[in-house]
Amino acid sequence: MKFLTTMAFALAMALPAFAMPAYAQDDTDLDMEAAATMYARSCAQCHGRTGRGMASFPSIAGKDADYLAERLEQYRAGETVGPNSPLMRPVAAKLSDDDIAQLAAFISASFE
Amino acid sequence: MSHHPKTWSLTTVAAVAAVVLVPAAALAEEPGLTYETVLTDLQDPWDMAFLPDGTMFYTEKCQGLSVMLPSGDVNALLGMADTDGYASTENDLFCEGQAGMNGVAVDPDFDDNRYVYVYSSSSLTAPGTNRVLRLTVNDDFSEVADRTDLVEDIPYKPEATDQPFGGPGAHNGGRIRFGPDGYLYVTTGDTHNAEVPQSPTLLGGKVLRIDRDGEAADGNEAAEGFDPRIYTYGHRNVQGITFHPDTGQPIVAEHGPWHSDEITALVAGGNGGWDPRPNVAGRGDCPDGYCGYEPEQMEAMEPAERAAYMPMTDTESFPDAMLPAWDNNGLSQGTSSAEFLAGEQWGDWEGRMVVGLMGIGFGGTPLGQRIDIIDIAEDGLSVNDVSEMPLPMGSGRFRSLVLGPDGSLYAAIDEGDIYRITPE
Repeated sequence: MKFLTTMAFALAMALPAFAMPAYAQDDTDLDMEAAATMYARSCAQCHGRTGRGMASFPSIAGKDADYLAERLEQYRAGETVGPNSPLMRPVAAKLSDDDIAQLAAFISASFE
Repeated sequence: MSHHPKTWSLTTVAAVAAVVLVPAAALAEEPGLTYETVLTDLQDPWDMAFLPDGTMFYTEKCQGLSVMLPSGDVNALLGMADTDGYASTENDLFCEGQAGMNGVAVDPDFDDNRYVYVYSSSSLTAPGTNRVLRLTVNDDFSEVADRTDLVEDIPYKPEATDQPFGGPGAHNGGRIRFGPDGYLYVTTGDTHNAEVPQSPTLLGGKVLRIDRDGEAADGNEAAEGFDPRIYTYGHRNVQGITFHPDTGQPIVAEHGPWHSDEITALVAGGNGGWDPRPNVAGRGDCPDGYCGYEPEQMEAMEPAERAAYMPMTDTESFPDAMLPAWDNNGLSQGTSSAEFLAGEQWGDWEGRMVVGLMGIGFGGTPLGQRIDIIDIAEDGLSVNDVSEMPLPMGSGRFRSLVLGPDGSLYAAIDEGDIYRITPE
């Protein structure tokens, strides 16, 4: 995870500002290292270390930040989006607006 | 409450201190563990099977069958649809959700017949089935040939339904293991189809027992009207099977429905007691005709309350159902693989069963990714002790546990690693 965190951080730093997702760029100051930690704690057990998905859990690699943030907000609001909604809703319920922005930016920037 | 000063002898104080200070592990003579990453960056490694010299066959769910030789060299043997780099490819083999290339087993007489077996989803017949394939491995382990489909009609879930994990390929079973009796055991899943587990003819929700040509094994004791390949029925989704080292009895690890993962010792002709049909056992209609996660499939609920409504083993409807030895304390966390530890290098764990849990945190249930060490009673009907293995590496979705010929435990995780866990 340390490697992943470092890699993700380096990747994020290497990206020019105009390449950052609009959602994150507009709304939050990115802390990629903190976001990587949050991803490892809240997401990686199902979506995998690199977001490619495992078993019944879908890949989230290659999704843009706006898409990811919108989905997380829907789950946080208790909406049903797909068959794994019962698993996503309680995870999203614990996320603040800033958490969602950070996670969405981290995932979109780190996992292709 | 009054205070009564006591005069403790030095011996008493020392004894109390010893009890408090000595770690339990030291008293129990449990082995220390080290680990090594054998393979990494795999895509959903699902199962492994060893030859006595350490040659390791392994499957990747959406890729196919490969082999790692004792030298460490890897040969990609049999690819699935849309894969590259394999010595040969079978374009009907596909993956979707939980389905794909799952279990692998080597023939007990491999030296003579060079047979290896895999369980995989296939599109040869619509809408897709799971098959058990027998393959012949060439002398230098660079190719497989002579594909023979021993079982062609294990159900596969082709369409999404309104269930948790409700996508195609759900509840796909997939472990294959040779028992000490020389027969091949095949574990299958209910495919989110309520009719499947108790059906006498549909092969999902079953444990099959066949010979190396795919014929029903002697002694299956399937009831009249049952497919003779069926050894036990009434299962939900069995992904783990191993055999008691003393009695040879098959023991399965089975996923529970938001409650009650089960470890169950099997008897020929037995019923696992899983029946998710609507309008039976006091239940009404259910989403898309499947009651398996009811009464509230999408929201948190006390596992015990769920178990009372939709039991994993329904002993009221099926009084002779096989009873689980253990139910994961009423929780469901994704039991996937089971194996017995053998050899004195395991210390007090010699002869214990290990069970891999992938981790499902739903409705207040802790995620629970771990390997459990289970002391199962010889009659298979109860457990004497269950403890958690102190992992030398990080946890993961423990998909497969296999004891290698070197006496180490090999563990595959969905994240893409195969570890070797070695006792010291």
